[in-house]
Amino acid sequence: MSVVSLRNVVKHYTRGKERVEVLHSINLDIAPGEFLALMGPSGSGKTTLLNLIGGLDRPSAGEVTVGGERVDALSGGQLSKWRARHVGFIFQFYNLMPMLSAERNVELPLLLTPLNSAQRMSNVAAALELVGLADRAKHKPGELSGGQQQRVAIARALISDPTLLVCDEPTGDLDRETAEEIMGLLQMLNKQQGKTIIMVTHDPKAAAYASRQVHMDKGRLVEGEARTAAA
Amino acid sequence: MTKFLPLIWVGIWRKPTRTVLTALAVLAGFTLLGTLGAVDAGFRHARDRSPLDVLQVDARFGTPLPLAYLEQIAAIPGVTAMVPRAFLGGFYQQPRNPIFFVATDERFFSFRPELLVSDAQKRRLAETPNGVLVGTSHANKYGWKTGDQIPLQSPTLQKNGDKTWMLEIVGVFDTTFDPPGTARFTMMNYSYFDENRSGPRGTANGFMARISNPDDAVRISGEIDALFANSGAPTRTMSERTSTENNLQGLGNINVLINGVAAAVLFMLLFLTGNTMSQSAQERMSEFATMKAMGFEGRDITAILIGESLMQCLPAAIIGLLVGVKLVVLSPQNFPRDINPPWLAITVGVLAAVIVALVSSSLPAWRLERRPLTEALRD
Amino acid sequence: MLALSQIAAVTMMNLRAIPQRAGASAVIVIGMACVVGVTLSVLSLSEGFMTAIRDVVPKDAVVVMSQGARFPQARFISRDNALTIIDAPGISKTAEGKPRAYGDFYAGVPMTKRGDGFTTFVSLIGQTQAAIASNPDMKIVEGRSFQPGLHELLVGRAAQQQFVGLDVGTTIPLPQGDWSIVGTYTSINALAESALIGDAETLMSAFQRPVFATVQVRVEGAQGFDRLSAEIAANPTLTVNVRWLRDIAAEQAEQLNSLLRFVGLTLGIIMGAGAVFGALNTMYSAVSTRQREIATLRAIGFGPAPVVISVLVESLALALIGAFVGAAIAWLAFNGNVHTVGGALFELRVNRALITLGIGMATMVGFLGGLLPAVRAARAPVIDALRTR
Repeated sequence: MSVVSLRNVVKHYTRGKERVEVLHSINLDIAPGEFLALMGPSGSGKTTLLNLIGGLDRPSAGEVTVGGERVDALSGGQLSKWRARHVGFIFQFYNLMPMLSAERNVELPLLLTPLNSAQRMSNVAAALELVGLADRAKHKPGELSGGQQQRVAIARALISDPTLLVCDEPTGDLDRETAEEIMGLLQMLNKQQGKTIIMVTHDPKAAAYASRQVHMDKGRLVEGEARTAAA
Repeated sequence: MTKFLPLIWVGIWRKPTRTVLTALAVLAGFTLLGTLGAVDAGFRHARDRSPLDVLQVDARFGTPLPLAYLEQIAAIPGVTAMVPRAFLGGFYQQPRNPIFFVATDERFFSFRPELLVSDAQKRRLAETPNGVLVGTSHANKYGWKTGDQIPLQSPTLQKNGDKTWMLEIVGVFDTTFDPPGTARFTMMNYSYFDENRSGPRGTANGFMARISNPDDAVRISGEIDALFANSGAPTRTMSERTSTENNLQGLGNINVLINGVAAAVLFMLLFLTGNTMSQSAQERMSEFATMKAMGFEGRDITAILIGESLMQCLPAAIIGLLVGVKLVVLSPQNFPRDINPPWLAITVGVLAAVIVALVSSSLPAWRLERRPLTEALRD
Repeated sequence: MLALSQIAAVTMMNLRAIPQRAGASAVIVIGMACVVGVTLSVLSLSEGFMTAIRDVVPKDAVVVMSQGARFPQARFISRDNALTIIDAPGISKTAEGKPRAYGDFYAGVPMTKRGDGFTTFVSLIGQTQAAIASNPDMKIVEGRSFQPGLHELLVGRAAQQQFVGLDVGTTIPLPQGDWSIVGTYTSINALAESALIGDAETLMSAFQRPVFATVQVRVEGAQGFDRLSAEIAANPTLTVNVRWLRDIAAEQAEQLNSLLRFVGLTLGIIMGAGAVFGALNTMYSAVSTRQREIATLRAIGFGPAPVVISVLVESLALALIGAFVGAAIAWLAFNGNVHTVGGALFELRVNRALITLGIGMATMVGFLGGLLPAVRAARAPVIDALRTR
C-alpha cells in the first residue's frame, strides 16, 4: 500500500491565450518510509509535482491520493487543514519568520492544534533537540547560520508529526559541508523516525542520500533509476 | 485567537518607525474627533436638558411686557406656574467685565432645579432687598464672598438717575450643568430691581410658564401670543427646548462642521493606515504564504492582519479620544458643555477606529488571498 | 553648477519613480488635501465676513451712539442731542446742502429661516427717505420706497431670500398691526442687505420709543471726522461716542472671526500633525525602497546634498499637489456660497490669502515629513545599502 499515489496527473497553466502543459499524465507511487529524490533540469515540472503532492496546488486532471485521501478533491479550507495534519514543508530559503525566535518559528504549526502553551513548548523543545539546536531556541533567524536556519525549518516541518516531509531544494542555498549535514539529518529522520520524505533537488550528491531517485524531463517521469547505493 | 497575539505583536514591531508614525497620525486624528465629539455632546446636552414643559414668553419686538400679563397667561388652561424675568446688564469695575443679572423671585427656583442654591441662601435673598446670588465662576474671578457689596455700572439707570447699582452678595452657588467652580448664572430680586429702576415700572422682559402637558406646548404658545397680538407689546412664546435649538442654531451650523471634519479626518486616516497595512502585508507576502503552506487558512491570516491593524489603531485612537475630550475646555466660552464624559462620542469614535482598522486590513488581506500560493511562496 | 545638475538628476530620478509607489504617494496628497480642504473651508467663513466688512462698508460712514452701549438695543440718543449732532461741523452735505446725518431706529424682529425653519432676529432699521435717497450704495430693485406715516417697509434682497414671508406685497405683524412690504432693495454691502427698513419716526411711534438709537453720519473724510469728534467732545450735553462704521463692524466681526480663526487653525494644526506623520511614513518607505539606487549614486560620486534635496523636493511636491487639490475642493464647494451668521448674510471666500496659507501649510508638512527620511537616506552606509536585496 503506497502512501502517495498519483494517477494520470495533468497540470497546465494558461498564460494569456497560451496554454502551458507542465505535467503530462504522471503516474507515481511512493511507499511509506521511502525517501524519494525528484530530479531533473529546471522547468521539468518537478516543483509543480511536489506542490501537487504537498497540497499547495491542485491538478488540472488526474488523482492525487495521500494516505488514502483524495487530495485533489479537497476544497481550499479542507486542503489547509489537510496540510496542517499531513505535510511538513522544507524550503530552499528556509522561509522562517524573521521576527520570531527559533522556538516561536517551530511552534507556528502547533497554533493550529488544540495543544496548550505548555504542551506546545515541550514539543518545540523536543523538536529542536532532535535537530541539534536546543541551545539556539531564543535566537532569531538573523542570528543563525544558513544551516542552523534550515535545521529550525526542519524542526518546524516535523513538529506536527506529518505523514510526509516535502522538501524543495533543501540544500540549494547551503555550502557543501552544511548541505551534507542537512542531508544527514534528513536521512536520519527517514531511517530512525521512519519519515516519508519527498525531495526536489538538482544536486546529485544530495539525491544520493535518498532511497529512490526519480527523474523528470519536460513534464514526464523518466523512471527506472536504480535504488541508490546510499540506501 | 489569543494564540495569534504574539504573532500580531511581532508583526506590528517589524518596522517600529512605521508603526509609531501610523499610531501618531491616528492619535492626532482621533484627538480632533474627541474634541469635536465633546463639543457635539455639549450641544446635544444643552438641547436635551431644555425642558419641553416650560414655555418662554418673550417680547416679540423687545418692548417691555406689563406684569399684568402674568395673571392673564396663568388663566389659560394647562398653565400651572408662572414667574417674571427682567434683565439688568452692566459691568463690574471695567467694561470688559460684563455681568448680566436675571431679576426674578423665589418661584424661579422651581423652573431651574439645576441651580444648587441652599434654602438658607434662598432665605437670605428674600430677606435682603438688594441681595444677589452669583455663580462660582464670577465669585472666583472677582474674589467675591457672601456679604460683599459690589457696584454694578449699568446703562439701565436707577430712578434717582444713578447708573451704579450697589448689590449685596448673599450667596455663591454651583449648578448641576457646569463643572464645579464654573457656574456663570447670576440672579437678583425682581421687586428691588423694579422699584428702583427709572424705566417702565411694573414690566418684565419676559415670563416663564410651566404647562401640565408638553404636547400642548405649541397650542398654548399660540394662545398666549394671540392674547397679546394686537396690544402694544406683543409676545413671542416657545418652549425652552425650541428656544435652545434656535440659540444653538445661531452659533452656526456646528453639525455640518463636525460631520465634515470627521469625514475628512477618517478619510485621511483610512488612506494612511490602509497604506501602512498594504506595505506591511506586501513585504511579508512570502511569510504569509509559508504559513498557509503549513496549514494556516486565509481567515487566520486575515485575522492576524486585522489584529495588527487594530493593535496599531485602537490604543492610539482611544488615547486620542480621551485627550481630545479634555481639550474641549479650549473651545469658545459660549459653547455649551456637558459635565458628563461624552460616552456617545467615545463609543462612536472607538467604533470608527475599529472600522478604520477593518477596512485598512481588508484590502491587503484580499490581495494575499488572491495571490496563488505557489507564487507567493517565491516572493 | 555641478551641484545643481547633480540635484536635478537625482530629483528627476525620484519624481519619475512616484507612479510606481502610487499608493504611498497618495497618502501625502490625500492627507494634505484633507488638511487644506478642511482648514480653508472653515477660514473661508471668516475671510468672507472680513471681506464683506473691509470692502463694502462705506469709507465715510460714521456712527454716533451713546457711551458704553454694547448691544444695539441699549443705544439711544435723544431728539435734542440728535439735532445738535446733525448740525455739527465735518458732516458732508447733499446736493441740496443738507447734512448727511440722520437719527435712526433699531429693533430685532424674529423671522423664520427658509429651509430649516429656525428663528433668527433680523435687523429692523428706521431711517428717513432722505437718508436712503442720499445713499449711493442702495438701490430699490422692486416696488417702491416706504412712505412716512404709513406702515410700510423695504426689505433687503438677501433677507428676502433667506427668510419666509418677506415678498413684496405681503404683510408682517409688528406693533400696532400689520406692516406691508412695499419694495426690495439691494446694496453693494451684503451685510446691509440682510435687514428691513422703514421710516424712523413711524417705527419709533409704533414701538413707543421716544429716542433715536444712533445717528448715522457721512463725514468729509478723516478731517471731517476729527472736526465732528472735537465738536461733540467739547459739548457737555452730549455723552456719546463718534466712531467709524468700519471699526464698529470689524469689532463685531472680531468675535466671530477669532472663533473661526481659532477653530480653523486648531483643525489645521492637529490634522497637519497627522499629515506630517503620514508624510514621514511615506518618505521613509520611499527612501528605503530606493536604498540601492541612492547607494549606487553615492558610490559613483554623488554627494549627500543632492540626495537630501531630492527627497525633500519629492515630499514637498506631493504635499503641494495635495494642498492644491484641497484648496480646489474648498474653492469649488464653498467659494461664493452664501452664509448667514446672526442674520447677517455674506459670501464665503477662498481667496489668494487662504490659498497662500494652504501652500504654506503644505510646505511645512512636506518639509517636516521629508527632512528626517532625507537625512537617513544620505547617511546610510553606501556599502551596506549596495548589498541589500
